[in-house]
Amino acid sequence: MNIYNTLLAATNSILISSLIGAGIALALGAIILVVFKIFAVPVDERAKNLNELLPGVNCGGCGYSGCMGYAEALVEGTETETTLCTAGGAETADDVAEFLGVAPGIYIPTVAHVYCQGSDFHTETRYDYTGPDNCAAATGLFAGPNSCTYGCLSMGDCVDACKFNAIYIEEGVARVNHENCVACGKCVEACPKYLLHMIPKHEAATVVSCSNHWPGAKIRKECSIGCIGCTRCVKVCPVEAISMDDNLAIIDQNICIHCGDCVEICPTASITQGLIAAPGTHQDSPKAKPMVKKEQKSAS
Amino acid sequence: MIDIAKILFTVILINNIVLSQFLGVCSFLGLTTNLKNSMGMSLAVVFVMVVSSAITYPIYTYLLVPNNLEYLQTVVFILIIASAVQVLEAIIKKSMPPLYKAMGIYLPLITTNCAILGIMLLNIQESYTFVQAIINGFGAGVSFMLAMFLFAGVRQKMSEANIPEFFKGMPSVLVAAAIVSVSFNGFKGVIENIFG
Amino acid sequence: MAKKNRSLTYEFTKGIVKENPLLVLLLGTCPALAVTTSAWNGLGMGLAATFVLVLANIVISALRNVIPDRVRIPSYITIIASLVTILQLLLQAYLPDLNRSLGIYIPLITVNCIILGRAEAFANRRTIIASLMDGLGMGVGFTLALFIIGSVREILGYGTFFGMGLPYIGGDYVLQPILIFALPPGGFAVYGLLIALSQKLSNRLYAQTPAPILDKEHYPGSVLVGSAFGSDGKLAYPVVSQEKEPSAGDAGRKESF
Repeated sequence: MNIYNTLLAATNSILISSLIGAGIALALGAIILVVFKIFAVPVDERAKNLNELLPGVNCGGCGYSGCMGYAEALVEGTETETTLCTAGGAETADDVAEFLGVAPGIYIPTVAHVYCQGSDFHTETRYDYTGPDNCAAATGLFAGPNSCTYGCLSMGDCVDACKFNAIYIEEGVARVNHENCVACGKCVEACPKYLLHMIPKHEAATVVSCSNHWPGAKIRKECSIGCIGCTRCVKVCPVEAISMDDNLAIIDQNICIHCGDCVEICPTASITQGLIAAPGTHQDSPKAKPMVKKEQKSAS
Repeated sequence: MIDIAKILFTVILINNIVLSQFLGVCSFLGLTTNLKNSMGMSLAVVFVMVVSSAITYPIYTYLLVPNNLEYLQTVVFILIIASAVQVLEAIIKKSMPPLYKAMGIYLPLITTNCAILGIMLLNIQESYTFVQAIINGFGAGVSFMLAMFLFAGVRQKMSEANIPEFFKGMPSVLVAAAIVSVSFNGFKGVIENIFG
Repeated sequence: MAKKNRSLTYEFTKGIVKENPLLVLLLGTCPALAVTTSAWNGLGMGLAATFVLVLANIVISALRNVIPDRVRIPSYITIIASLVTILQLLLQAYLPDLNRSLGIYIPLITVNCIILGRAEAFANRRTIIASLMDGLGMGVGFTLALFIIGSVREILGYGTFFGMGLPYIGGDYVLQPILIFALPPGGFAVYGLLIALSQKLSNRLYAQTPAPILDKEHYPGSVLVGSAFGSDGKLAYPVVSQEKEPSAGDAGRKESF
């Protein structure tokens, strides 16, 4: 009898607990179903399919928060430019245009370029910097330890920002490896001295790789490869692509025909022609003079 | 009134749910890398805490206890929390899209966050009334938010530092958390002296 | 890329050192910090979690073809919660002291990331035996780590070990226990230092992204064919395709990495 009573009590409690447990679960399930039906948000299938065509690296080069963001904007119609994907390039632009049924846009490949050549041979340090090991902090301390305060500090904020290993520090200056660069723009945002800009990816890209606005007399003392503002390039350019902006020559990349006349005439070898690749491949122009360091000057 | 203030004070400062009671440490360590994530996650936690407290308390008191089924509390609570999260996500996604953009993606992460289940169980353990339970839930969410904001700032400063090789990553973060936790120890003994 | 099914002993041993859930995978940190105030607590929590982990792995692996995909997570959670309730009742009956000292962290095993994580990542696609070994390995690794942290915190914080006083510590001796190790800050600190130690021992560095090696000089055909990004947005696994063309100058080339 005792065993029977215990068994009965046990079955009772098992029954009640399972019923209540199952009841709660069913009730919750029903509530979830109902809520999902009422509050359903229509998902656009096209955005998902378009997302498949994009590279999926979520680099942000298109200006949207990841590939899905760009796909959704295109499908909604808020974005009509099909060529914004820099990581995917011309192929992706064509695929996207085909998917949306619009005429393909013209995709101009661009690549990042460091507007500074101030390596260890051309500049010197003004003081011993012992703060946090990044450019943003160093530039906060009297514009950084470099002798030219416009120039590259080479502590690698741009290298940290790049997800594609396309930028590296060599000989005290940052250089872009155009083979890896997908023009996402993260390094441009990262540089505290605004030395990085996008240029059209032409193998003979001609750029005044300097950002200093000092008069020639001053820059000669601080960096031997900087633009001194002599305006010889402005006068020699056959298509008038070069203009002066406060002692700094700027070549309009959309007009430049890459003839190379300005490169030959620049006295400080500040104008570069061509794109840089892997580390160790870049050589300074034969015209570039090394910096006469202050210790040597006082010694001689 | 004193009651409510006492509960809030205790759960936010003295027994901070992350730094003193170790609830929700996984997401605390994982999401404090930037402030935006922290804000999104803590908003979501506050929401879910309040809603879950409001639902679990009556079900425990009026359904489980009268039927001597207190041992079912773990299963039932976790089911309620999981469903509440799903329902909340659907409602917010449809009716408040900007709020969804701010914190919607963190909602599914909260289901397995120890903090929610822990606070629900603590509500029962401390024998709070219904109103006190909701206040406790809200306070727990705020305490989570406080800890995350503070720590996100600390981590941001840490990201510029030169950390020795084998301490990079989790070890340095945990030691920093230890120091922040010590600072909260300073609040012990305050409650007896303020609230008599 | 299909993964070969490794041997059962590998599944067991990987959880102890190579993929220790607490020190490498960083799952289940909540109980690690909260209950390791003494060696016995740590050991007890580890064994309790192992119990749930092994059984959950077995059950979920047995039901892996039955549970529909949409309700995967809720059903796993229900299974784990039921197992934890069983554990709770067993502990209440046979180990009431442990139950009291572990407090609410026993029901919190339900949401322990290790159990759900292993269910998601392993048990729902492997056989029962393999899941059993994996659960055992992870559980043993978890218990080991908890035991170490608990012992360190107890010895330094209270001067006892498993409740027994240690010689020359406490009382009138010069060596006094450092209470902060037994308090929450100590938990964070000891856990962090243990991870640092294990990293040093296993020589694996955290969040270091290897640079893709595009040695065009010796591997002219190499291209960056793809990449996998870690959760912090950094290149985690660069995928480089290198087709090397034999060149005469091989003998003299310097190590490029």
